[in-house]
Formats: sequence, structure tokens, C-alpha cells
Amino acid sequence: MTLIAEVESLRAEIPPVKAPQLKKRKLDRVTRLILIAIVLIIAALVLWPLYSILREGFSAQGLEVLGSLSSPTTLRIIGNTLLLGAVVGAGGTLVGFIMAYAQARVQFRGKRLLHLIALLPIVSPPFAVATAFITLFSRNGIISSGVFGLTPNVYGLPGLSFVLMFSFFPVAYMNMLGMLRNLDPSLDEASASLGATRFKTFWRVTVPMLLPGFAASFLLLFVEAIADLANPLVLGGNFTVLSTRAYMAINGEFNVPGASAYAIMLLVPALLVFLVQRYWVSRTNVTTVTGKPAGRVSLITSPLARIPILTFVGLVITTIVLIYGTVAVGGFVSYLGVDNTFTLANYQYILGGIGSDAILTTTLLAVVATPIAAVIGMTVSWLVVRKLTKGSGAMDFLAMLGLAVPGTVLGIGYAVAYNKAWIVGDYMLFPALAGGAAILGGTVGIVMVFVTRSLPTSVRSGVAAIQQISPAIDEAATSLGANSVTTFRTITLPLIRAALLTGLTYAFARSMTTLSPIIFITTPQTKIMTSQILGSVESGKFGIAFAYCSVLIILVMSVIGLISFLTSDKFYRIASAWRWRETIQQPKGR
Amino acid sequence: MKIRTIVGAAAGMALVFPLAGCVVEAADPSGVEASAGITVACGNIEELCESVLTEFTESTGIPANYVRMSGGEALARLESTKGAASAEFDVWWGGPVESFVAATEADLLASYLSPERDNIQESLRDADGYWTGYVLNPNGICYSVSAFDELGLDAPTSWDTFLDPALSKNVATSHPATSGTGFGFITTILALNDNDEDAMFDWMLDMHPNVLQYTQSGSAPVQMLVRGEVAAVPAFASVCEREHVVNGNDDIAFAYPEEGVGFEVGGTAVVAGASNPAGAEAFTDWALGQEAFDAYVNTGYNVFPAFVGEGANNGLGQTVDDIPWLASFDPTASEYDRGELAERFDTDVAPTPVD
Repeated sequence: MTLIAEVESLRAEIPPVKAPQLKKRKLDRVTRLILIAIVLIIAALVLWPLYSILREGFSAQGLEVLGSLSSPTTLRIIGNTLLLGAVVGAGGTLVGFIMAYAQARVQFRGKRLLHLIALLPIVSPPFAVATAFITLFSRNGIISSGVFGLTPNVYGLPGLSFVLMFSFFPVAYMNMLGMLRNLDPSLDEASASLGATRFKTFWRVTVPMLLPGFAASFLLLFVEAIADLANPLVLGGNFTVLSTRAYMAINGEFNVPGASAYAIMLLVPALLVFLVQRYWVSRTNVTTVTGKPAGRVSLITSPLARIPILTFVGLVITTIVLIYGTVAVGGFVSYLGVDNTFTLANYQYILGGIGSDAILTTTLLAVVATPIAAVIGMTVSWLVVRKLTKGSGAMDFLAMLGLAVPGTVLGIGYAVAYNKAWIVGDYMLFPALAGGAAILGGTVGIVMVFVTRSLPTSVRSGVAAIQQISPAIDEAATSLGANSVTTFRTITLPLIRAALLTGLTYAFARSMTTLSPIIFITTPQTKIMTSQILGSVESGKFGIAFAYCSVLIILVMSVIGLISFLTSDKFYRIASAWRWRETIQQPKGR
Repeated sequence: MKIRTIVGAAAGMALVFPLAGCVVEAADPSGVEASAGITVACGNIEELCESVLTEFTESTGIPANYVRMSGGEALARLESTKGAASAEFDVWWGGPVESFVAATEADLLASYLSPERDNIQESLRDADGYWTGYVLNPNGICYSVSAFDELGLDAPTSWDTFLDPALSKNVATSHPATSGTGFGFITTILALNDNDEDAMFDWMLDMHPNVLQYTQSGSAPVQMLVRGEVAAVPAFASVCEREHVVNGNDDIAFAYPEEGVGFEVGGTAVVAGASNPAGAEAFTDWALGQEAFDAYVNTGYNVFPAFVGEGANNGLGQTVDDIPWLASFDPTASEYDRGELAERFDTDVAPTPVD
């Protein structure tokens, strides 16, 4: 007790150590060019479509909906939305953190396997997890009723937040894991040598260092949860949220301006959480990557910590295996839980004809979108953290917008903004980019939507990672004569490889699983897997839906494996060895 | 560095210039041959889009492409290209006629008086030819025979079955705000109550304790029934009958309540500004006939044809005369304010706590 009090009083005396701030000098020319390019790209990807649709929200019909803001129904829907976001944000971040902590700091066998399984939910094709969850845990579920004889009602907040937490925690896990691995173990050693227990070190050293990560994960999960449509559609029951309400406005009331108005309401909480996070993180900024030599992490072996942590990890892993096992098995039977006869018909259906066409097109477009999203994401985070003084918050928020808007509304925004060519007089200033009459069969629009939807994750993980790096490293490079771009390419980029990997991985998974905006810009030439899955679910062909999902999961996991190899230390070493050799052969460089 | 910049800029311009700055040729759709192919906004289920349109191409030689979407989505999408040189789609096929009425009001459709429309019942087509109904699909009660046995209930004969306390938490229905099925259900009850909205909402509140979930999607309640989560759901006949006709599930049965049933009308329309109007008209003629209807039924959707004909049946041996149609039911729901009804449902019925 006294020791704690003593430490407390000491803490109070010592002024908090602020991370050294890099002086954001006037931007050099290359940086300015990059800035202009990024602003133009974000304007095209997010701002213009959003403006096109949100304008409708302030039309007479939209204002009617906005005017109902204080009605009890609307307030209830807004309350539901905030509650869902908070529960999923907090819960998902916690689960992700515990999993990452176990992976980085606790001694046990099978870490590689844990990592792979923990990443599975990143690939949650719309409807798959929710449907598998219903098959297992609903009132006639295989486990709830079959094993335990229970008839729970899974429709509503509890079931919905469980599925969302479960679908989104891998983002938190990957963020946290990257940060934990970047933590300097000498801090732990210092804390231990000052007499702190392991728990105290954890609570007073590790957790505070990870605050930006917690905040980033919470924000991301909050926004993901409130903008998600497929899961509330399937599992929401009578628990209406803004995204489903906007969907209702379009599908039931044929009221696009009304839907835009609900989207505007949805932007407010997203903006608030974002501002809070920025304010909070800027006060507790800590850098951990300092370029100084670090020791080795000593893993936790004490059973007191291991047993509860590993039990929790075991539960999470079991649930993941169960749910994805259900998806895998579901592809090989007619209707899992109803008609369990083995069949290959589902795979015959999807691998021939429309199915394989959709698989090919979707993968191709996602492969194109992924590096674009990751590169833009890392560049935006670099500009936001390192380069911009004024407007850094605005740019950060703009990049987040693509996720904060319900997909349905974004989709219509794209249709309005890009389905028509820009024609002035007789001249076409710009061709149509999306829809059936567009160039390249409308693929440009789809790639743009993929990038828009996956950009936020990329930016968040990039921002969190760059904030961890001490600006002194950048300064060292600058004082050696490197310009901003060289510094970014040779110093920052290698240091944020983990975040880049997260960005790439998530961008690909997200592109492959985006549904609601796609409906408005898909064309006969571009069959997209998710809309085929939706079609199968609607006609009750769950076997086919599960088979599609299995193929989609396998595809995404293989590409993730490939990406992680391409960004691994091993590959990096080989690649840089090659580059080095080239430099030696041509001493004058370029 | 400099060379790279120049190359980059050149590459960028090379990409943009062939596209930008072209002189737009005035579109003249009248010269387009029907055989150039049509693009369809398909409001039906994927399988139907695929099988019926394949049949169309085989029968007429006109290639047909489609994108599947719901009525509301199609409407939003047609709206987004309004005023463009040419529309994205030539034909809008499927989807309840209610959304076609909304599209007509928004000037998104072109009038076409098909020679085939004379065979269509007058109440199922637009007087000015903006849309024409081609099938009708009655609603009723879809239930699980085994669950009804277990609960000690007789086969349902009345809509009031949904009010039976024995079915507590054993009913699912789709939300009228998101789904045509759900809206068709409440307007059916409304028609049964002589369009007295209060009476209809009282009826819904009576049913409320029995409802496990108001689903957002129209197809979800039947799936919940199939999975054994509930015992009975309101549904359209073809969606329910399909479970045993196509999926071989004999536990699922369909009953027509004797008070009378409402129905959904599938419509077809030529899109305003279609790039191939000749093809769109050829499709309309074909879609209203026997051949299209047979393709529909052969895919396992046992609906009734909108045309009047000897022995016209739903493929299950039932003719139009066997069904207790509600005479006062209006499938275009033109006299109701859908937004208001849905809003009231969402406020007064759905969130009511049940103990």
C-alpha cells in the first residue's frame, strides 16, 4: 500500500515525459505534390460521392427525416446505434488485446496456429458468420438446443454484438500485436529492477504505452459496428440501428433522401468518437520505436496469469473453429441442421458457370484495389502524423469517412456521382466510371468502392504505427541529407511493415467481402461474389452460400499468406540484398 | 528524377486523354436492332433471372444480360442515371408493381402498349402502359406440419391462427418497412379490416407476443421456419411451396386462409432512355406470354399467370379460381402511404415489450 502511495506521489512530482515532437517545417516540393495528389484522390473516392448523396439529405424529403430527430423512435434508433458501437468497440478491443497479449507475452505452444485462427474472422463474408451462428446457437441450434437443450433468443443486441465483436476483433488483435512487439523490453526490465511486480509493470508500463492502440482499435471497431449492415439485417431482430433504418428507407419507402438523412445522423457519432480519440491520444502520445537497441522479451510463465489468459484464448479459438467449421461443413451438405446429407452439388454449382465467373472477377478486382488502398493509407498516415500541422485532423477524418457511411448510402452516392459521364455541350469531360454504361464494364467504380471501404483500416493502423516511431529517427535521416520521400521510403516504411501488412491484409479481406455499396454499381459484366451469396441466402440455398463462403475464405487466406511472405523479414532481407548488389554494381546510382 | 516525372505525367495523360474530350455522338436508339441485346434490371431471385432470361434468348435470339437487385435498389439506381445520354438498363423485370408505380411517378419508365397486354387482367396493368403485370403470387400461411402436431394445433385455415396463444414466440414475419412480403401481409390484414388502420394495428399487437423476430429480409421468415426456429410464418405461396417442390422438405406446408388472401404482382417495364428500346419491347411481348410463364414455373416458382387463359394454373394443378382472392385488395397499394404505415408499425408494434 505504502509503496503504491509513494510511487503515486513520485509520479505526481515528475512532469509527464512528452514524446519529442518533430518540428513540422514548411513542406518541401515533393511532399506538397504528394499532398495535392492525395487530396484529389480522397476527393474522388469519398468526398464527391458523399457530397452527391448527402446533398439529398438536406432536400425537403431528407429534412423531414432530419426534423424527426427528437421523435422517440429516432432517438431510440440513435441510442441503439451508439450502444451497439460502444459494446462492440470496447468488447472487440478487449478480446483483441488479450489475444495479442497472449501471443506476444505468454508462454505456450502453438502460437503460429493461434495466430492463423485468430485471423480467420477477418474474412467474414456477409451472412456467413451470422448464419453459422444461428445454425449453432439459435433456439433450434445444433449446440444450444442439440447439446445443452436451451432455446435462447439470439435476435437482438446480445447476439448481434457477439457476432460483430467476433467478426471485428482481429483488427484490434493485429494492431495490438504489432504494437506489443514494438514495445522496448528494456522498459519492462527497468520496471522490474525498480521492484515492480509483473502485474504492476503490465498495468503501469505496458498498458499506458498501448493507449494509442486501444484508442485506434476502439474507434475503428465502433465505426465498423455502427456502419455494418449485413449482421443487423440478419440478427438485429427488433433492435433497429441507423444503418438498417437507412436500408429500410431505400427498400421499403423508396426514399433515398430519407436514407441520406439517416446517413448524416450516422456521421455525427463517428465524428465525435474520432474527435475524442484524437484529443485523448494527442495528450498521451508515447513513442516506443526509438532506434535504440532493445533486449529480449521474457515470456510469462506464472500459472496465475497463464491459466485465466489461456482459458479465455481457448474459448475464443474454440468458437472461431466451431463457426468456421460450420461454414466448411455447410458447403458439403444440402442444408446444415435441416438436411445433413452429404453432397458435392453446391461446389459443382459454384465452380461452373456464374459462380467461377464471380469468383474470378471479384478476386481480380480485389487484387487491384488492395495495394492501392494500402499505399494511399500509409501515405495519408505519414502526412497526418509527420507532415501536416493544419488540416491533419481533417485529412485523417476524410479518410475515415468511407467506412462511417452505411454501404447502401455510399453505393447510391457512387451511382449518382459516377454512373453518368460528365458532358458539357457535346464534349465528354470525363467518362462514366461506374454502372453498366461505364468504361471497362464498370470495374473502375467497383475498385474505387473497394479502396474507399478498406482505406480507413489502413490509415488507422498506419497512424498508430507511425506515432510509435520516435521523430528523432526521421531527423537523423534528414540531417544526413535525405529528403522527405527518401526518409519515408527508407526509414519509416520498413519500420511500419507490420502496419502495412495489416493494411494490405484487411484491404483485401474487406474488398472481397464488401456487399451493400456494390449492389448499386455492379454490372452484368462484373458479377461479385458477395451479391451471389446474398442471392443464394435469399432463395434458401444455404449449402451454396456456405460453399461460396468457404471458397472466399480460402482465397483470402492464401492471398494473406502470400502478402505476409512478401512483407516478411526473410523476403525483405533477400530483396534488400538484391538492391544492395545493384547499388554496388552501379556505384553512381541513378 | 526529372525523366521519371515526365514519363509519369505522360503516362497519366495517355490514360485520361482518349477518354476525356471525345465528342459525344447523339444517341439514336431508334436505329438499334433488337438483336443488339438487352440489359435487364432483374427484381427476381437469381435463379429466375438466369433461367427465364436464358429461355428468352433461346426463344428470340436476343442476348440478355442482367443485374439482380431489389425493387427499392432498382428505383434508386434508375434515378441515379436519370437524364444521362442513355440509361443503364433497357428493361426492369420482376419486383412488385408497387415499385413500378413509384418509378412511373418519377418519370423513369417509358410507355409501351404491348399487343400482348390485352390478355392481361385489367387490374394488373397500368392504363398508360408504363408497366404491365405478368404473374401474381398469393400470400398465406406457411407452416411446419410437425411443429403444429407437437403444439396440438390443427392445420391453419384462418389468418387468426397467428393470434393463437399456443404459437407464443413461434411466429416470424418480415418487417413491412423493409420487405414487400411484410408489407403485403399488413395490407392484407388491412383489407380484411375494411382499411381501418387502427383495427389492423390492434390485430398486429395481438399477434406481437407470438412473434420471435420481425426480420428485415422477406425471405428470412421461411428460412427460420425451415430451421425449426418458428412454427408458422406469413409468406407468398411460391416461396413456401418451393421448400417441398424444389428442396424436397415435406414438413413445410402452405395454407390459404379462408377469409381471403392478398397477392403480389410481378411487373415488367421498358426503362425511359433505353439504349435498345426495340429489344426491350420484344422482351415485354415475350414476358407477358405463356412461354415466359412456363419458364417461371419450371424453375420452381408456382405462381399464377396474369394473363387470362383456359386452364391457366400454377403448375401445381391449382387454377386462379381455386384461390380465395380478396376482392378489395389493391396490389399497387396506391391508396396507402407506405412510409407512414411502416413508420407506425416501427413505432407502435415492433418495439412493444413482451413479458
